[in-house]
Amino acid sequence: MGSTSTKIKLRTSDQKVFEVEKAVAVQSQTIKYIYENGCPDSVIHVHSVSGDILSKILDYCKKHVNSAAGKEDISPEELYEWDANFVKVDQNTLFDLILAANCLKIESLLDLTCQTVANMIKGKRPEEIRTTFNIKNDYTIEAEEAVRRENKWAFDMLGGVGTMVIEELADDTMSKCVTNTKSRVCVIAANQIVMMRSISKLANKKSIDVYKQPQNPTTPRIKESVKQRNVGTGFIELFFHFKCKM
Amino acid sequence: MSSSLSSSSSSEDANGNSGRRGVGDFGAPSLTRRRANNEIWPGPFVEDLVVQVAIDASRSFGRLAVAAALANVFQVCSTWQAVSRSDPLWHRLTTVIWGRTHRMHASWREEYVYRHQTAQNFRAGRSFYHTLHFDPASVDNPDGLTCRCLTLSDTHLACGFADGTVRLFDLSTRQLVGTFHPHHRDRFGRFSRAVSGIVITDPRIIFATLDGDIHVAIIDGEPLARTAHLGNVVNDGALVDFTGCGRWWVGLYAGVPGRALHVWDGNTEELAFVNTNLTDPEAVMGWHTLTELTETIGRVRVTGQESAVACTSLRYMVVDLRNPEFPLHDREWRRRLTVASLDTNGEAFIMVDSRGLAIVRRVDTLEEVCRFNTRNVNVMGCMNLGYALMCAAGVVRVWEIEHGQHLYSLNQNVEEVNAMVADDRHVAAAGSDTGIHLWDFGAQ
Repeated sequence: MGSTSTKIKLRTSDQKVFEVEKAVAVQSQTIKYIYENGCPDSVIHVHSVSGDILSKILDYCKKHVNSAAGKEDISPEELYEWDANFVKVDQNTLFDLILAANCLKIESLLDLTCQTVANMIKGKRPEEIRTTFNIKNDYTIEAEEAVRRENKWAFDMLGGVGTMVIEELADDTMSKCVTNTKSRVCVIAANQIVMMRSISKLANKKSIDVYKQPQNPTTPRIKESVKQRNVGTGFIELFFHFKCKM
Repeated sequence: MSSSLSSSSSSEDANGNSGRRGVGDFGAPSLTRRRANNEIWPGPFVEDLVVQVAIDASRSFGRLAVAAALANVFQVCSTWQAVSRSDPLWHRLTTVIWGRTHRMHASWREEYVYRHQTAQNFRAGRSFYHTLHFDPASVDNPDGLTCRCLTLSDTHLACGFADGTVRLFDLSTRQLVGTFHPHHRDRFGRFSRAVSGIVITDPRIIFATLDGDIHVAIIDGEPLARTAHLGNVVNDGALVDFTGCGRWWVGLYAGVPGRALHVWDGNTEELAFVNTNLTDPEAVMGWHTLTELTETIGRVRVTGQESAVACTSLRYMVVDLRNPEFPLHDREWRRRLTVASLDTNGEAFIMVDSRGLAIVRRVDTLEEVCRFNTRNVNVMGCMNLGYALMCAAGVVRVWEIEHGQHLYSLNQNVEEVNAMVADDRHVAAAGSDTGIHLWDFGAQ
């Protein structure tokens, strides 16, 4: 029972039946387990996966099996690109792929989707992440505050000196801090590091106007003007005036 | 060959779990009924996601930025926050980001926070300074006051002196808790019993003397150490540096050609390998070390990946301790190297050349991590996971090694430093006076 053209039948949640080569199907640890411990002739029911998704997943498994076995002439870079295109799908499909890969236990696909989601998260604040993945904020005000307090240690960058925390970055916010001339100033708004400035770059300017390029269209354009004043040996006071434009 | 039934892009699934949804409709929001996706994220997937976010943040912004990136993930919704309660997740994060494999705190989350805050203290220059003392009256030979080498563990600091004595200090109480001596034997010169290096592998403390003897003592045990290996100066030369980790001991010799590197199995105490000609040019100088104070001839340090880096002023080598016959790298350097500047952390090593340029490289690939100018040729150096410390003319200066940015100088002066060591919490330096300098950057 080990011929290379052994086929396995899979039935999805929407009653579609797929017939695939064993080598492709057993990329899924779940299917492999069921196949090896059940009757190999019957159809394997994959309850929580729909036909569309299983079809895509089988394409993925087939590509990887063929490339590993040398049946397809594809370089590692080309496979990497193929994978990158594979996950260029809409949100719902991506979620379904994640759920299916988790349920079918396909390690490499889980790693791929995990990296994809991590890339989408990079540099985003919590509310931006929620928007991207359509996640509802199910925190109460108290619970959200509790979580912020729990994670406060993560934002203590320079231990007081040189850190400026702004609770609400609205239009026309003014804030000041005192820092020594060798450090950087780190501006934190709503628990997200908004910007860091090296003091030496501000050194010889009385005031500078800086337009911050928005990283994504939902963040406001921030115009900050910085004035500085010497307040004693090695320390300067920085006076930030933020103007925000949506 | 998969034979699928037609899968049109707007399939209506009868009673599947996926429910009603529109597929692939980016440009037509009215057709897309997107559901709130709080419930669907599988726990193990979110854990993997958190680890991936941590790794990405560490690569882009450095280790100290990881916690902020994770806080953003946890604040998204309570389902994502739930994984922050998983201590195994914090175990993974602590291992991946801080390289710690055993914890000293009640939970892995506390361990992570501690390492983060200690690294911040290094960044900001916040430390407690102490001097460690021992009674000089207990020393009859004046050489016994010269500290030659230092080794740190999580709990102790060991100091090796020029008369063969090793003194052990407890880092939490800063008290002297042990003094160890080697067995008496004939001396080949004034410094033949000087300690070349110490390895602490709880509960053992292993130290080697210049004449090639290796001695083993138990930390809470007898002061007289057992001789594990009898050196042979005539065959091997002088043991100029000795180091190791739990599994391996490594000795660097100078004086006899072709026998520069010795590797012992730390568990069986048996010699596993002898070879290389790294120190052949320094052979004559090697003999002189037995009788007089010379400059540092060679240095060897181990990494976290079971490899060792050894250097002289002309050349450096990287060997895999499991397979030492074939060095991973063997390079000569155009400019002379400052031998006393060599140190390693888990994955990289640092060296300063004759123009004062310090370069940090990855041990496995020799890829350059950063470089900076120390502005001094005669430096003694040490490093930990994120920071490098260089001592020159009594002043210890600190750089971070993600980008090579100079941070600050330590406030205390260290005159004529002979030995310096750093780990991720403490920094210690010893000069010719009887006090040993200790800086504690640990979070309170």
